[in-house]
Amino acid sequence: MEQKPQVKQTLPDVKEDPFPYDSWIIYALAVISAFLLGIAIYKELNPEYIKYQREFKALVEKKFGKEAAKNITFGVKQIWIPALNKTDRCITCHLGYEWKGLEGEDIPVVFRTHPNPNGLLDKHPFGKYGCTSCHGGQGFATNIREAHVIHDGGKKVRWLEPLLSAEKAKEYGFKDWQKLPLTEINCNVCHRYDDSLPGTPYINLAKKIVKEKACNTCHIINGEGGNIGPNLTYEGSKMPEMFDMRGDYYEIRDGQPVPTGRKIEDEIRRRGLPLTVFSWHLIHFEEPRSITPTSVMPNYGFTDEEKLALTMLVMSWKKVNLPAEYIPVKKNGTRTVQPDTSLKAQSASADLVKRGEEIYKQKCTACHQIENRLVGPALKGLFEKRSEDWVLRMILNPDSMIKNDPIAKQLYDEYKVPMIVPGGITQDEARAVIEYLKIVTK
Amino acid sequence: MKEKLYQVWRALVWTFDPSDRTEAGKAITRNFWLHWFPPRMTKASLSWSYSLWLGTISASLFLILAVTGIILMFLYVPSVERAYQSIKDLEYAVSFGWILRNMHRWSAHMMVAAVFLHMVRVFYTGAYKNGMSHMARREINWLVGIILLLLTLLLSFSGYLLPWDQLAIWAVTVGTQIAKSVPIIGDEIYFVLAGGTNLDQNALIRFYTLHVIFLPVLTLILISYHMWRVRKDEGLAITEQFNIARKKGEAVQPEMVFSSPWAVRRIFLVFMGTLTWILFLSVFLDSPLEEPASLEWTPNPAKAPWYFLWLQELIAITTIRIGGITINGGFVGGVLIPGIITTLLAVWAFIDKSPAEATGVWFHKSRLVQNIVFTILALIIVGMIFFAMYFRGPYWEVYWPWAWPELPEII
Amino acid sequence: MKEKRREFLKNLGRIAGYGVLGGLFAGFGRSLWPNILYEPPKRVRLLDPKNLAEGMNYFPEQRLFVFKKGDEVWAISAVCQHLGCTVNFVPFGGKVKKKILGKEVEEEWEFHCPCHGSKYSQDGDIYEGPAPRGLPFHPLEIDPATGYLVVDLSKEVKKDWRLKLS
Repeated sequence: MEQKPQVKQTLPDVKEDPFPYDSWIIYALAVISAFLLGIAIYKELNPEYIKYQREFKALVEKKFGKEAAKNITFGVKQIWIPALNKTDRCITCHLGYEWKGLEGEDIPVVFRTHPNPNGLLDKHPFGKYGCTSCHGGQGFATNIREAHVIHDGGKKVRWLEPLLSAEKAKEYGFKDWQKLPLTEINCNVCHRYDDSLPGTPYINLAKKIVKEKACNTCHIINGEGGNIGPNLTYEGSKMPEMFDMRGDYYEIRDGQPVPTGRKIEDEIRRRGLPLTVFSWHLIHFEEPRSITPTSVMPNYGFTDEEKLALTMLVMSWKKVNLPAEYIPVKKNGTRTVQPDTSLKAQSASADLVKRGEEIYKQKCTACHQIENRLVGPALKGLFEKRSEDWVLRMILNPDSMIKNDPIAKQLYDEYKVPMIVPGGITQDEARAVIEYLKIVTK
Repeated sequence: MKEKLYQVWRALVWTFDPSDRTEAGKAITRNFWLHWFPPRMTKASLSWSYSLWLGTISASLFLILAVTGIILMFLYVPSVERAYQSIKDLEYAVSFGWILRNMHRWSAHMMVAAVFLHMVRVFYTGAYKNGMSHMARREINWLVGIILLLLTLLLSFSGYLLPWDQLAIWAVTVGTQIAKSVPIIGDEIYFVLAGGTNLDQNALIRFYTLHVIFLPVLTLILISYHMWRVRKDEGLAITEQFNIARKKGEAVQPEMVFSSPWAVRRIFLVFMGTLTWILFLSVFLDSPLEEPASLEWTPNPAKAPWYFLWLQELIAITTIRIGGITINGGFVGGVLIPGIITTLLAVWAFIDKSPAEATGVWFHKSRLVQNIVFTILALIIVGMIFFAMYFRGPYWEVYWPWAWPELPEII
Repeated sequence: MKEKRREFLKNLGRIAGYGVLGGLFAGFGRSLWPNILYEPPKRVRLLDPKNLAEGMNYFPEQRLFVFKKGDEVWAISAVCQHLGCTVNFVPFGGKVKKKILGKEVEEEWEFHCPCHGSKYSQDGDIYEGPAPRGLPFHPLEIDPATGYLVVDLSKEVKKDWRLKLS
């Protein structure tokens, strides 16, 4: 309870300060706070972009005169595209992008007029496409590190689309890295149904390969194809978690995949490549079995250029919501639509079945019969029990199937003899045998 | 003219700067903001080393949060399509937007810490006890304080969702899944909290409304009641020591100071100190913002806010499998254990049997055992938070903090 | 001396204190003034002036007429000042003498609104119908960056304002 003061001494004079240091501490804190606020105001008035804007204004004054530079204001600038839900603030620093007359080598790169190769800009005006649609990067940001999404080992910039810069292309070993080849990926995000496009040499090369090698025999591409391999329609939207980087990396010796003791991510690092899905694809296109030893995807012997092209193609197959006014239309109003499915049709032709019969009689009858068990199981009713894809894998890769596939393992336990295909067999030959077996094992 | 201005100025501020004892006495009845205080307080109540002024620090942080929060309400948009962009705009395109957001976020984290430390202090000083007083019921204030702690955590949690980035949506997914694991009513709780079966626009607007009006008003009411109770309970617990000494026969005359201006000035000092600290953090340390929210992929690792990390660690390690029965760690670690801890805390003031002498004294020897147990539990919780923060890496595996593996990018 | 120094430091502290609180207030207040807008821009790039037709050019997105006579161009809004319909361009096919608002004028075209019958002279003056004021003229300029013709829809100019194309 509050004591009623009995002795006067306990009631101080109000001018007697019981805590004489308090005021001084408050003043000290105020000075420190004012100093901190000063730093904040300084940071606010001197953002990174301001020196670029001042430099640009001076440049324009020098080159075109004070009158031309009159309307150049300072502050955050942006291109807002509501249809794509994009806000690109690149132009806060990249101020010369639409000025005529700033193309020269003497102009700093950041201020240079945006090049217009083959009239690209006329078909893709800034007000409709912005910057990041083609170049990637974080449009919201107003400082270099976060706008260009630079990975320098410091605090990670949390943005999924990095700038598809020349430096990045250099890291992947592009010979023409200065031409920003990686931006072709973004071209194809919208132009994926065009069978070729001027200005995208890598993508065009990749599409040619896809057509020639008939990749859609095994993979669903653009919504159509086989299902021996994974569906690649939205391969470019897959997150890194979905790619096995910690699995074993294999080498092929005497035609068989052998573990090297390295992991896939170790191999990527060993080659000096960045640890990315892009690098994973490069390695996979080079030798699919180095990542998945039971893969039936052959080694096509792609050159470095072809590997880069194909990787860019699959990375461009992204899931996007394109408003109707952005869908590319060819000049004569048509679009190339369907991928080449003629190989699929081929699989039922009579010639193929005849060929399959020849190969079967040559390579398989040593161990298999249709009606009876021999060295290996009878093949009657084969396709009622097993999928076509399982049979294909069994023919092409019997030893790894026996090691890794549960059904093959069971069969091996029962039959005790590993399946061997005398003289080996190519993919085309295996397909032919399957077509033949589909008829005779019914 | 100068004289007139001076008179007006004096009329406005005399209650904060009384010129004599009479004015000092009248100040608290004549000023709305000061009516909280008694005309005089014991000097001991105002000591730094007794209370560490953690309650005032918490209240100062609440004030900073309210002011920065109101300004942010003009700038943030609670829609799933626009929330993320509005936060990006704060960082890059709004003048002083970055410091606004930083001050709000740092004050929020500091407030959780301050409120927790305040509870620890009250426990160690036995300040929930009533000493010799027949009128005081400080255990009620202890209970109100526990509720305020929970409200602070909820305020922080509801605010966490608003940026609608990966950190927000996955942290809240983890949190709401814990709510879901409550038996029988779990699914209904989740359904009401999220306004649906998924975290989407309904969840965002509900969390927003909770965060900007419902919880702050509730908290303000309880803070007011909490402070009023101190008066009703006849002052801070340390004043009980004077009564105990008097009972023993000692001639005790506690030194008194006028509330206005000395206590007021000290409170302002604490506020300025808090503000300085928050300004320091906000000017140099930026608030994080991850990729836009997507339920199609989970960041690796996905972590709850730090004050819930101990729960996440518990959940990860308390899944019990006996025979064919599995009790989800979410329930054990997320509901059962924290539920038990909170209940124990809440009722402790009512069941504590230590003697009156232990009221308002640091580490009184009669409370040694409870202090030790409390300390151990608190250290375990803090330890788990540190562990989960620095040692749990990708895939929730254990790594040395400097040896986190590099995670692959897309390109 | 010591007293003076103490007084000085006290005042420094007081100024700093008020400065901090005032500065925070001012900073937070400034944050409420938008720096960027999510709106279509008011200064709009129209076209390369060499693509301008002689006479009437219409820009539907901005609802703007741009007229070219020789080397002079000017812009007048097509938004009726009554309730916002788009007015029709009504050419006379030659010069016509008329009496408008008590004055004798010679006109080649007018603007008539199809919604409620407002009629504007060639100079944008309202002479018939419910509109409360005439059609606004907006200033044009050549953008030094691209050489394009740019209209500033946030500004208005008098009806005799012309831009000379060089």
